[in-house]
Amino acid sequence: MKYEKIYQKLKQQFSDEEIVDSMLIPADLTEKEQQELANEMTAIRKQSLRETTEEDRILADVMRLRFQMEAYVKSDGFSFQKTFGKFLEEYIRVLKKTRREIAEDLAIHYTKLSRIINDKEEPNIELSYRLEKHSGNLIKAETWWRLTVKKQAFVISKDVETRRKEQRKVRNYLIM
Amino acid sequence: MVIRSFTPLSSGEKAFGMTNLQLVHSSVSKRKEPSDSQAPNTVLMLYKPASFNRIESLELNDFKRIKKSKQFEFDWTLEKKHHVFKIVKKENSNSTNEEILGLISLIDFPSELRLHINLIENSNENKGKNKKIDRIAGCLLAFAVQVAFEKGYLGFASLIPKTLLIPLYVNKYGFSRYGRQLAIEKKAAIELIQKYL
Repeated sequence: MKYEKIYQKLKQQFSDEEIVDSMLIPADLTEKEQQELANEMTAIRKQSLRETTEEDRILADVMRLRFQMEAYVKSDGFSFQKTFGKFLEEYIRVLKKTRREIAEDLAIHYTKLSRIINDKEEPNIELSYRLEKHSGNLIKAETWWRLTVKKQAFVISKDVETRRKEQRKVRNYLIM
Repeated sequence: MVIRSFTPLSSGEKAFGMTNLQLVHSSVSKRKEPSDSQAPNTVLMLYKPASFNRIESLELNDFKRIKKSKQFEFDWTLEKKHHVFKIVKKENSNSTNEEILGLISLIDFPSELRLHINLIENSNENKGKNKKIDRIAGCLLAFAVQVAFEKGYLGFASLIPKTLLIPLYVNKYGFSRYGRQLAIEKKAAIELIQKYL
């Protein structure tokens, strides 16, 4: 009864709502009860998996994609394999839709969508807003947009030639 | 369903920091849900994208630190055999000083595509009416569900709370009852994540 003892101690200070708000107090179970509940849960889980619909699987895959995007956005490195275009391609695959269908859904020209997917063209902020709505708000516009920002930051840091070319045009600059 | 061409995630080793923890004014007993357009003055959003707060895997030396801190009622050393995570508050990205706000212990059942939430606890100063920060336990539960999605379990997470408290976990977090056990998955699991992370 180790958890019951802790519960009784906490009850002197907190209401049940406050306890639930700040912890999970497990039930004190005998070994026999544990085994019974484990068997029960195995059956519940099997049943639940049998009842899984295609929609459930798609939503779950969109969530996985979202976490991959968020983890990448927060990481330090940059990869051309993880651009806005690449994640968009993956998003379309997860939804089991064609590019043409997604282009229609997003009210964007098919060619433009293909160019973005192939990293031939950069997306605008408006597309991020549309994708947020399209994903049922599961993937935020900010997350999509940060993929673009991350790529731009990397490109700026490496593009010596453009930097030189553009900086040649500057006059009256500060000298440190 | 496996997502092609992307590295499989191992959430257990990954830190993240976009949960919506809220700093609660001590004089406020009932908190209004903040919205982006109109956040109540007494509630500050803590875990915004620029935040340095994180959920991280617990390290071995943390167990000693936790025991010494006297901030937790459970004996967390008993959870060493499971996957234990801490939610920490940091002043900035370089800060070595971190405050552990809460802990969660998870057990993985890969053959059942299920994650079991064994134990959760906020630090003592974040319990009850006078807590400094709200929604810690909710963030930890949502984190467990996130891991359950990342592992391809369709967000399935189970728990066995004290019987008396079962209705409260159902109402507050959206878990469903299966006899003496509770579980969350699919759309309810997504809703929990949308609310807390």
